[in-house]
Amino acid sequence: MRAVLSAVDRVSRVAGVLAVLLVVGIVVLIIAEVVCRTLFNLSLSFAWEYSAYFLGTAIFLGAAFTLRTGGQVRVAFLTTSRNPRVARTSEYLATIFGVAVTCYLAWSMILFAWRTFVTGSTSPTIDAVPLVYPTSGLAVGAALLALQMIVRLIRLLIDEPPDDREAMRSYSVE
Amino acid sequence: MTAAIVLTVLGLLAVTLAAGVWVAVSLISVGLISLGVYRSIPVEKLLAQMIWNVTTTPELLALPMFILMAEILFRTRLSETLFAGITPWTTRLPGRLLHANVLGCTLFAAISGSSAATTATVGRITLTELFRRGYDKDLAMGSLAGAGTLGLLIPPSLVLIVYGVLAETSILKLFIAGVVPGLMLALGYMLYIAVRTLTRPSMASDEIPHAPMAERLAGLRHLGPVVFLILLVLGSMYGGYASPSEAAAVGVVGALIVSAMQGTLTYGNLRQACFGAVRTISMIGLIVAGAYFLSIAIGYLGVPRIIAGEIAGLGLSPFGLIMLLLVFYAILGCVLEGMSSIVMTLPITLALVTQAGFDKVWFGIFLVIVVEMAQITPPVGFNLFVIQGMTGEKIGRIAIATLPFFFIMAAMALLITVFPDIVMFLPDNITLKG
Repeated sequence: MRAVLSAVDRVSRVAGVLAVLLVVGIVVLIIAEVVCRTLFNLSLSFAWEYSAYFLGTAIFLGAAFTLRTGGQVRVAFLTTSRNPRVARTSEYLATIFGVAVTCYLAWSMILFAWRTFVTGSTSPTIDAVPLVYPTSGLAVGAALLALQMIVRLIRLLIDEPPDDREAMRSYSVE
Repeated sequence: MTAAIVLTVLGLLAVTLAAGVWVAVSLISVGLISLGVYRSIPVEKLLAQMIWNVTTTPELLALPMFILMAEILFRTRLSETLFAGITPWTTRLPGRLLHANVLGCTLFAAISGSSAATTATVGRITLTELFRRGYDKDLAMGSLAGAGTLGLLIPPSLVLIVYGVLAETSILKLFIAGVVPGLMLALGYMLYIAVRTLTRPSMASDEIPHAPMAERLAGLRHLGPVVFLILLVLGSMYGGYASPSEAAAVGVVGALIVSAMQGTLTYGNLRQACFGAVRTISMIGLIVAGAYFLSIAIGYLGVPRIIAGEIAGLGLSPFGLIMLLLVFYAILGCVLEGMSSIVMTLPITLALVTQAGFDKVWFGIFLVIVVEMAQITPPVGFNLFVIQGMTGEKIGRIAIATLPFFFIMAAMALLITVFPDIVMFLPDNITLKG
């Protein structure tokens, strides 16, 4: 069981690395656009379009990793209550609710990606990018988020800490 | 029926948030459940389409890059150089080094879009120094928490980017509009520090020798990196050379250059900055996605119209409406983090405010000041958390120390309501690219 849980953590981390690369990609594309426009008076219209897809994909690919490292914001009144029973119950409720909503979200994003695949939709720009690529990126990220939420529930059941505290400390600004 | 819809939406939101459900998850769930119960439309298609639309908006691109820039700068020696450059100029002011908090935050805010990053970066040096030199602890922490919020108001600003996208307003105009209120707030903080320390000199009893002019001018070279970045980011935007997203990309490169010159550009720092940035991007991105979906959902259900109707029934003057919102957001800000409280209420409040004749740009600035207040109200106030992390003090003590600065912000919100031109003068008179 623990092997499965840490495997999901590893996949989330890999997706997080991909999200990092996409963010770096955004910077590179926009810089390229600025350079081409100012130096060569050349407009790289695709830079904006690709960057926007990169951003959506990065948001979703980074979501599971962010959840695991405690980076998704919540109101922590009850979950950090001094009464352990209150804290535990609300943590359970929030996580079960989270599993339901993120699974629905994943299902919705997967169907969306599937529709762009079967209809062969392309972006309404001159580059006519097949939309199935970016939509799949979002779908994969949403599915991973749902998976990480399920793993969180399992961790609660087997009495393991649901957040990776060590990672939290090394990445947060505080 | 209509009352039932409104109660369902507000009730679900309150219950899920209070139970500790993640903000983004809660926003999505409220949209899903209320649409599922009251309308028979393909909810699953709408959810995916709306999330796709808003997370792949080019206007949102400035957000990830400004976040990355702040993460890189947090891991440089910028806070040390900032302190070294500013302190010689504060020795004759009543309150002396306490002003380093305000001045440091004001300068850093011009290259950072977040208040937590501003507070953490500036405070890392100033708090240690102020404590060591025996300045009043409460005034040191309070002024840092208050001034740190300038990160949101003085451009670039993450909140204004998100507001610009959701309210369909020019981000650049918002960035211009935030300058004057931001500087006025900084001045207000400095005046308060001066008055406080004049009435109780023991709060800043540290006697630092006054440096001669030549030495002070020479010290300005320490501000070089910050000034370089401000020119790069704000200069390129206000000069009409770059859109906010382009300026952000240039800013990332500038931050890398500064980091390299200060010898902090290591693989470890870069890796941490990148992962730290992705966590923030993902967190804000999902909240924006959830908020956008919820706003579309409650738009279908007519909730903003119903609430606007109810409030119109109260017969409030425009000023009364703004006061009502100020109180409402101050209360909401106690339990919610600022960005979340803006995005989830925007579909309703924006309709109300524009109907009452206020400008969208003006309202954006008003909201940012209100969010700044939320950053320093307990129990949930991110700037308080940051300072708690640095000092180990109790949240309660930090919050009380910050209270005067909360009132200065509230006064500022009133001031721009009475004199909207404080906000609108610059954006109305400058035309720029983007």
